[in-house]
Amino acid sequence: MKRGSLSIQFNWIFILIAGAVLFAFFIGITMYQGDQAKKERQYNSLVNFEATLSNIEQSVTNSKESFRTFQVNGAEFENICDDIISEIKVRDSDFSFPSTTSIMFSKEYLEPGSKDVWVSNWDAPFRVSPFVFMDDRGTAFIFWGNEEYENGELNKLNDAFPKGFSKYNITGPNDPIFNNIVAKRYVIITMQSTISWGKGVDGEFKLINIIPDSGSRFEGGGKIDFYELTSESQAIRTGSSRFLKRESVFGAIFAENKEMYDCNMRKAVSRLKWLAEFHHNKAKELKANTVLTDSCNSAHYINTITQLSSLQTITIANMDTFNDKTSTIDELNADLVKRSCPVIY
Amino acid sequence: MKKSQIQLGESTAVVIIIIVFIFLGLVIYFQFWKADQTTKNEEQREILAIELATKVSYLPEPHCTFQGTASSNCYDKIKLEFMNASRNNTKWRNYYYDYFGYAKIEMTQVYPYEINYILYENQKDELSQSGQPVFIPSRIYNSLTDTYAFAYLTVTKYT
Repeated sequence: MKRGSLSIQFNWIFILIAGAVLFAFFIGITMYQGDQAKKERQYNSLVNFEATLSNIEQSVTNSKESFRTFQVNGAEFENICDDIISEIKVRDSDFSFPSTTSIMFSKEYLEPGSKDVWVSNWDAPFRVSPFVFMDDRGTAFIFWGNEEYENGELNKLNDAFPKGFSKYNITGPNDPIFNNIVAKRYVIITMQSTISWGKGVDGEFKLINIIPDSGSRFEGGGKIDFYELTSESQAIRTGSSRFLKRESVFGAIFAENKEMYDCNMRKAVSRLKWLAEFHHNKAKELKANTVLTDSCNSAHYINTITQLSSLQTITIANMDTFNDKTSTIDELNADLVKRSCPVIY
Repeated sequence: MKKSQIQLGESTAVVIIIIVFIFLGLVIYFQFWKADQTTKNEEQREILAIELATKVSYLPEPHCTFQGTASSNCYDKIKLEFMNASRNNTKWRNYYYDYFGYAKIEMTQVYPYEINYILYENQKDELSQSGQPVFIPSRIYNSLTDTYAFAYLTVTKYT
């Protein structure tokens, strides 16, 4: 081969190598930018979600409850509730924000799409915390019972749910209405002493059985049983917990499972104990400093102080037994209002 | 031979010059990006301070409540005194760290007389203050005398 043609060949080889290096460099930049764009999208979704959750919680500062629908875009979220760490995390990424102070009952994984969000303040008896209930738009909430059942308690529970949710009433698993319901997820709510389901189901089903304590209602205290329904017509009980006030009943309905319910209620009860101590101190201060009159004197605070002191022993295992105590504290506070005495809350 | 060597040299020089220009372009791009990020960080710090102020505004502990209903921008004097007295308690600081992080929250009464309540204070020495503090006009209610006082809430976020 002539020297000239050899040098031309080497020239081309050199150009090819240099070109390949430049090409690889630009491809690398593009891929890096693509990866960064994905992370930025996930981060922005997380920031939006945090802001929305914060706005939702604040929307009930001066009202009892609110309901709205919002869109989750850009990422799938994971609602992690644990005694050590609670956070809302973008799935398969490191982005998260702490949710230690938020009490949110929802599915464990929140896919992109429309979500129905209902917020209601848990007053036990004073304001403790907003409870956030979140589920996919299109989830069917099925109330299993009849109108006369349990003195219409199931009907009252149905009425307490905002109209924005898809609600159905059935008398049993063989009710034609049940067969015609088409939804992504099914939550069956009932108030029966024993559960006998007897129908195979296919799909995401959950059953909650609410058993108020004797003499109490779903707005008071009692027990909640969690069930899973199977294709073999079985209703398998997966756990039991206690409830106090209606908001905790709603929490059990929206929580993915008993573990999420218990974790959120532990946070709520811990907050209740903290606030009970707060109000206990205020009551002691008022008892010591209230100007004595016929209708308003320190004796009117003694019983409240005792009740608030007792409230600080509440746990999630015994919270249903505190329903009467919270009602008593509420009555005592209302009595202070009637007497034009300084109120505890 | 000499001619081809010259040609090779030319090709090499062209490629090197192109790489240098690309490198310079990237450096300038990243300088602009860095300046943009610094501005965004400043904005983010201010947003954090405002978010914290909003959080304090809706926390029920220090607020006046009348049978469960919280009154906007109204704080209970007895509760403020209790919070002021408890702020150095480790249990107290640890509890509210989840809510406020590193921050200082104080209520300053200006009328009819001046008095200052520090509701929460948690600062790491090496942290810098986050932008300007946020001020929110408020009222302080004394349930023992059924009177109100003028005040303002100061929220400072440390980052």
